[in-house]
Amino acid sequence: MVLMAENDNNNLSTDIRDSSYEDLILRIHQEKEQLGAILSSMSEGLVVTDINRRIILINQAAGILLRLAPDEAVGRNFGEVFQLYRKDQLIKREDSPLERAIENKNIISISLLEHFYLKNQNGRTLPVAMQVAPLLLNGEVTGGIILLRDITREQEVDQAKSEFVSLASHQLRTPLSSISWFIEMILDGDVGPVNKRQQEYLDVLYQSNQRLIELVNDLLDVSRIDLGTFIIDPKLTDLPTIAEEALVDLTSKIKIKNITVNKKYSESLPKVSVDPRLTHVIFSNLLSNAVKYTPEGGTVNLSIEPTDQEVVITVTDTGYGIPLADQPKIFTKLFRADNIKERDLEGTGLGLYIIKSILNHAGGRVWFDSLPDHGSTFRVAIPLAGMTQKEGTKILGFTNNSERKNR
Amino acid sequence: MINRKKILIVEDDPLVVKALKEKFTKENIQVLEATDGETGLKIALTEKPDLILLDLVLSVMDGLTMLQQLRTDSWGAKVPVIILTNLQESKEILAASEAGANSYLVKANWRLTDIVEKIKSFLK
Repeated sequence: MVLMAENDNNNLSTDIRDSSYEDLILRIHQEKEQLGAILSSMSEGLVVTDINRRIILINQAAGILLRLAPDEAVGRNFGEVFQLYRKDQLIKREDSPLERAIENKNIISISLLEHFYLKNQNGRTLPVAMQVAPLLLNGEVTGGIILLRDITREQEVDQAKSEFVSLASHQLRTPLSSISWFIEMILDGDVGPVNKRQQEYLDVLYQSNQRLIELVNDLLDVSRIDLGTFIIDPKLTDLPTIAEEALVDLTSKIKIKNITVNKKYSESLPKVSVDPRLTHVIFSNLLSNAVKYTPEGGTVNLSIEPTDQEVVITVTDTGYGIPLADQPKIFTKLFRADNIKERDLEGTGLGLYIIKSILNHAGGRVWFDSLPDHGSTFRVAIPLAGMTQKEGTKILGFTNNSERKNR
Repeated sequence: MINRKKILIVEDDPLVVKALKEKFTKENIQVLEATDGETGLKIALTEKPDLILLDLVLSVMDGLTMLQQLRTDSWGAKVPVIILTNLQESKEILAASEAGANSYLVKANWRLTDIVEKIKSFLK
């Protein structure tokens, strides 16, 4: 459409009738040249195949990626010219994105996270991102269109980010653990008696440092989520067991604030295929929020019940609640409600964001009701069918207990 | 007193070693030290401690390589090895588990007292 508008504003059919044969040929030629110029100036590689997966058109950029003159590629089978690998595994022709696009009449997107590589004619492999669509003519699939580009640069940036996360996790935590251990030793009286006021101040130091550790752990989880590189590895799991583990981590806080915890686990609750670590993160954040934002002597109720399609985890507290104005922002990263900030309660503003992000990736929902000064109810629903598997490079969720049991 | 336990700490951060050593000595556990994997391996094979606490990020030879080499020895194949590190990437955790580590603890997330309890449970 754009081409026509550029060439001539007149009605095309009158134009053709009035034109001489030579003019028409010239015009077709010009249009072809212009299309050719567009194709060869594109920075993305473009390949078009017929229904037999034979290449009928290939642009300059695709030729450069392949280190092959476009002319030499035309007429050959796509899978023969484009050797694609997932990580280091050659992708079989029947599994290639082109097959999936043509067979299922589907648009297939291959991003950085899928680790696709193209082996070019020089034998070099380069990371690629692709978009593959069926070529439709009057609703019939007549071939495929492949857009692809070299993502070496993106991959480097991604790598640098992951390395930063890994470095930060190690380097930031090293001094933090020394601080915490040495305060612990002083508090234990290992280097002499500690008087009451000293103990009080040391407790402040210890708690602040714990908060910093918690913040580093949460930030790491968040950066993994934002990078999309965390793993979801579902296995059949008994949800109450995970809930109990999360509660054990909160024992001292529950005791200090004299909070009553009521638990109700449905008897007809089946095991669900979820990632135990991620589920632990979810329970842990829900319950620690409830305990954190409930004043002394309050109550926290936990229930796990199945519905037709889902398992619903409900955590109700008799806490401060969430101000109405803050409710829409509650799942935003680093957001903290006004009434909580005023009370200067600990917290990082990351817990609910982490829960929501996990559920967005794994399949599931979170929602809440809250009445200021009366309390909040948070519900998480996980499909009975379980979480969606996702490959990645990072394991999420070590916040309290990072031990790996040997199996 | 008759059966005094002996552990080896392979760790390059002197503060971590100092804190652990003080706690273990209090519990009447003898502490051997090494600051890199190569020395750690040598001391392990000659002194045959009851347990090894191993960091992963070490100079000369890293903790993982040390663990792999240790497990090829007939005595070293059986000695409990507990990874104590601040690295918590799945890659390292999996590798350590595959190499035969008995447990994996992230320093920042554990109280000193709890680490000592954990080690004592392995020494029983």
